[in-house]
Amino acid sequence: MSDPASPNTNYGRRGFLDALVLVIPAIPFALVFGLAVRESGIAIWLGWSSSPIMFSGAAQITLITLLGEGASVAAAATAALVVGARHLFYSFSMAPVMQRQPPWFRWFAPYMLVDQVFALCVGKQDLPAADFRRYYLAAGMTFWLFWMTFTALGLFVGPVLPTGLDITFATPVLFMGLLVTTIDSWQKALVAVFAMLVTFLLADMPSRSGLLIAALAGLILGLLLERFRR
Amino acid sequence: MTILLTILIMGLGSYAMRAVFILLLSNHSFPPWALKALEYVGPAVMAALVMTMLLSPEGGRLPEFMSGQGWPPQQWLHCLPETTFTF
Repeated sequence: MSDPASPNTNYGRRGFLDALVLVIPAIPFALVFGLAVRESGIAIWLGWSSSPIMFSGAAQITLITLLGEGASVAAAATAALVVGARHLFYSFSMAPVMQRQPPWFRWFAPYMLVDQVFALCVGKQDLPAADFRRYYLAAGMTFWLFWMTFTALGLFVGPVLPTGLDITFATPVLFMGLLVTTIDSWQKALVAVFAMLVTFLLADMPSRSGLLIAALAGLILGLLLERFRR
Repeated sequence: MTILLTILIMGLGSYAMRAVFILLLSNHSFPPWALKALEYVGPAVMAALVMTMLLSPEGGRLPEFMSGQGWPPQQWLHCLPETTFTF
């Protein structure tokens, strides 16, 4: 995805360029969110305001759609929280590297901790603190600007989306590439395969909660492997 | 007003889920085995995410209770065929 690091690497630029690759397949989703706001009957400025306030695509679309359908606030909020619960793992995983960061960044960084930013940054935890911060901010701000722009655009151009538009196939391919970069031992490979298997077995669970259980199962397996290795 | 309040509360909830461990554990030292174990979070979560994307059935981007209610409209599904959790 990017050139090997060198002492002169500009990590701000690198974070921007790496993020740009993952932005492209997310464009249709952002446009569809704009459409969902229009269809929900909620005032468009109010629906769009969830983009800067929540900055959490799948949870936003869940919340807005359910509220638009007349679901109770409690039901809509609960469903959206379940959809976004995987972020707990991201927070857990990022905790050690954030210890080396200044307090302002520890408070600000979680706002931008979306799937793509986690995927890009989880493999960069060995960078010097300042370089990691530049990379994280560049990637996060790139996604933030993209999401604000394209969800707003979706409010107006969503209705004229071509029905054959299909570039989202690239998302799992790109994430698979990022997954591979996080694997540098047979134990991690085993954990990844195990998590995939559990996800497959739990595919029918509601609200994608199988993903959470699979990730937890993978983490427990990792703990056991470490324990046996010591 | 209720919807705005809901969005604001959800914004706080979304932030809290991302921030909870980063902030709570900011002053705690991790034992070496825990640091080693944390290295598995990335592969475990990413693998589960990729498999979810690959498995996602029609409308799978959304919770099941939505996809059975005619949402999203069929023309949208052509745009969003197989993936989930764009973020």
